Amino acid sequence: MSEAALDARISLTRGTLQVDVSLAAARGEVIGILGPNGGGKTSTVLALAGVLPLEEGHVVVSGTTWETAGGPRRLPEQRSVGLMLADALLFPHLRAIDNVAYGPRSRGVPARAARTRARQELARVGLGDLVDARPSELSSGQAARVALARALAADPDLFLLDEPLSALDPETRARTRSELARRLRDYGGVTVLVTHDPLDALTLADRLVFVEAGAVTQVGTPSEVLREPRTPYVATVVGLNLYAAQADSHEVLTLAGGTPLIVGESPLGQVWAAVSPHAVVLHRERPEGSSRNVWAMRVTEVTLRGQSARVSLTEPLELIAEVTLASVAALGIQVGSHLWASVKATEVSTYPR
Amino acid sequence: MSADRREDPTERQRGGSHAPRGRPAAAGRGAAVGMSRRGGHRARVTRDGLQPGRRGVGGRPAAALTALVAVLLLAGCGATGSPRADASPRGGIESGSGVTGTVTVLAAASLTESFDAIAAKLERAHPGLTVEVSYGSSATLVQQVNQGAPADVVALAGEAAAKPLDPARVRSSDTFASNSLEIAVPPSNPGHVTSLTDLSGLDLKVVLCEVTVPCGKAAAATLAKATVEPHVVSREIDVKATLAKVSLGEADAAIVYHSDVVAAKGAVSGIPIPAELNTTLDYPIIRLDDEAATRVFVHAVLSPQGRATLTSLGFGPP
Amino acid sequence: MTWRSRLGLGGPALVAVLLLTLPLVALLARADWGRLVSDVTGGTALPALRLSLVTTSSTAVLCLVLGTPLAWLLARSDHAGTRWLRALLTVPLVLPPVVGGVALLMTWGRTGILGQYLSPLGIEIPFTTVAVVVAETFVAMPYYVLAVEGAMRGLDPRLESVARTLGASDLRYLRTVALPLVVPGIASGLALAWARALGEFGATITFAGNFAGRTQTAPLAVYVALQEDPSVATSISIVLLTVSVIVLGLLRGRWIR
Repeated sequence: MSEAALDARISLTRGTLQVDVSLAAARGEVIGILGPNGGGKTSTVLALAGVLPLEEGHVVVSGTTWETAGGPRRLPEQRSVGLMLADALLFPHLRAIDNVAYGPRSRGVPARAARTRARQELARVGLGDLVDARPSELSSGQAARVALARALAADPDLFLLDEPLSALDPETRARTRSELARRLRDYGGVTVLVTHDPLDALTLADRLVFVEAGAVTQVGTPSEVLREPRTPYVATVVGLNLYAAQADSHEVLTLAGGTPLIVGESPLGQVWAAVSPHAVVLHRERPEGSSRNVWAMRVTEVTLRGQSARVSLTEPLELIAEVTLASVAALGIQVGSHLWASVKATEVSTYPR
Repeated sequence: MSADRREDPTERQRGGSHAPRGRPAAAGRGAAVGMSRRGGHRARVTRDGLQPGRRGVGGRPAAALTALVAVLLLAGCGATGSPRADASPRGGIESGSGVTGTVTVLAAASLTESFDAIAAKLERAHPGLTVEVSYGSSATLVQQVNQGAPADVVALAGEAAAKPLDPARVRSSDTFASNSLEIAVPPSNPGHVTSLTDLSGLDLKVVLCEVTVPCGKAAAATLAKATVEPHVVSREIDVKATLAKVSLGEADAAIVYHSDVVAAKGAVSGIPIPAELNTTLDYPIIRLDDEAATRVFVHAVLSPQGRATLTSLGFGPP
Repeated sequence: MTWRSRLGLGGPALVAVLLLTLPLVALLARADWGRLVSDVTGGTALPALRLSLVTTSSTAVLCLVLGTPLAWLLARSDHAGTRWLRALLTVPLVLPPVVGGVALLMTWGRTGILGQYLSPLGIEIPFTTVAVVVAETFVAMPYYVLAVEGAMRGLDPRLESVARTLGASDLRYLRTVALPLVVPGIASGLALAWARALGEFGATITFAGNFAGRTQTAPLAVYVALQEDPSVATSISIVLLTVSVIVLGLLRGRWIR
């Protein structure tokens, strides 16, 4: 990371939630903020935009101080930001081109130049033939692309996206996501992308910041986070079973609640233990064989995903197994049925807490 | 506003309703014309009817026996003085017990105080009798009667005002009082008005009655006689509204009836108009039906006590 | 619907329709059409109609110029004081107009709380055309403010966040986004306020008096005419009715759903 293009600490109170989030990014970087709903993601974005004032902290973008708590504060219109929300929120009375030209016009660009720029931006997101369309004439995906063009038409130093794809249907979402990814590659400023969709985060972000209950719980590149999730929420997002464990003796961990977990490594002290749902094998009868972790469990939930199914199990620990639909049928899996689950010791990865 | 407000909501409701009482054909149309809240000074018993639209209602004390006897005796005597002695029906006035029901009276705004007083006395004398009086400009009242307003009696400011009245509805007509004009000014007299001629001052604010109503016609006649052209800022819809503009201090002078100046009790000062320039109006009281209660009311107005009340409030003899 | 429920609802509904429409029919039926033109062009009718047009238009302009910013500020504030202020502003809506007229006299009259200072300066409002406009604005502006505030509150607040981050100031957002989007609300607010002003009687006659050409608006002329020549009253009423229906029709087609 060269000189930080974004250096911010956002500290404020929203209702009962105390938010305290620090962010840093280099030019051209995309920061993905993930976290459960009501955890402070949107507040962070609104504070960066200047819509919410800071109680503590600061926002410095490209060497310019936008806000220091208790000090001078730039209003939203005095910050070089672009904002894109779940709904496109196009100005319904303006044509696509005038929506996109709104930012440059507001920042003093002459009408002609602003419209030329707007035309270019619309062409960049593949809407060159819809410049004169009214928002009511656009599909949701097209509207989202106009919103993207509008947010970037004034060359903001900071681009804020809050769940930009969440209102779209799955097919449109996939297409808009790749459009967004392409456009973000050309964008030189810092992007902060709030999402709860792991796919958005993993495909669009250079670095992930997890915010839970107002605080940052994990920061890392997508591959780092995938490898070593550090909270149950992060693990759920990346699809892993994660347990806080105590490593007391050779190759045996003790989970919260006292359940032992046999591992193929020899860690020591406080560790995380992660198990991929694919590594969990389900049986009708107690399995014979090499698996060293075997539990008799009860099914609490079955979710179908394409050709596979996620089976949630409970007691003596919470465990998610990912199995094929064929297995579901063969094993007669349904909520409430009792099964045996096994995990090989070598499928359990551990890392320090 | 300085006028006191004594209101009894239940009384007001009763006073405000115009029960058709067996004249259903007339009821609906009457209500549609001019009987709106601004249409007249509708009140049962009003002692402070200075403001337009005001509905002051005085309390009606329980029937006092002494008053009853006194009024009955005097009312009985009054019948001899009346040009229509036969108006006394079935001895009701003498006995005081036989007459019940409601009399609905439409009266010129200038009669507010005197009719309120007469009605109150009459109701004390006849516990079963209710008098409902609605006040307004004579012109409006005549229109209301012609449109079928459910009234028993109409009393107007001037014989001329009665001319458009539908003759088919008139059962009897008697002149019961007279009234002359006077200049009303605020007590401080900010315009230094001393005579009719002063009314032509350009920086003076003069309020008159609208020319369609009797006090406006009378004022126009007087001003013509005096060859004065006053600086008029407003022509009000009836004489009480005209007076109110002066008593509120918004106007410097108005031409109203002498009785209004008396009734205002110091809220305005009166400046007399010489007899040779003045216009005198004779007030007719017109019966619209022959019901006993109606006759009792008309009789009370024409009686010496009625006349005494009118005289004490500034009216002249008929 | 069964025939029974159709009858049970249809009966009262029909009565309601008759209550509302029969007076209009009666007005048209009883009109002396042969005299309509001479009634309206002669005497006090034409000056009164002209005065009504001038004063109601002025009232509409005042509502637009003063009421729009007020509606804007009300719509954007959630302060407890704002709620009280809004409640206070609706009082003229329910106040009997005559009481409004008295209150205006107490304010602008010679001895009124403002009038006593204006009078020595030679500024006297009562009995002037200005007084008519003041009275009409007093009764009509609440309709406008509430209608426009409602429309402004209906705007998505996120539109403002987006506009602000695009560099638009408060005022630029108001001018380029909020106002264009509440044009329907402004139009219906203006129609309501204008109609209320056109029908204004009580506050006007109490505060501004009744003088042909200066303070005698069309409703006052109707009232006075009724005392002597009901035909003139009917004729003016028909003109008022026609103008109201035309304005309502124009607005309905365009902006009012």
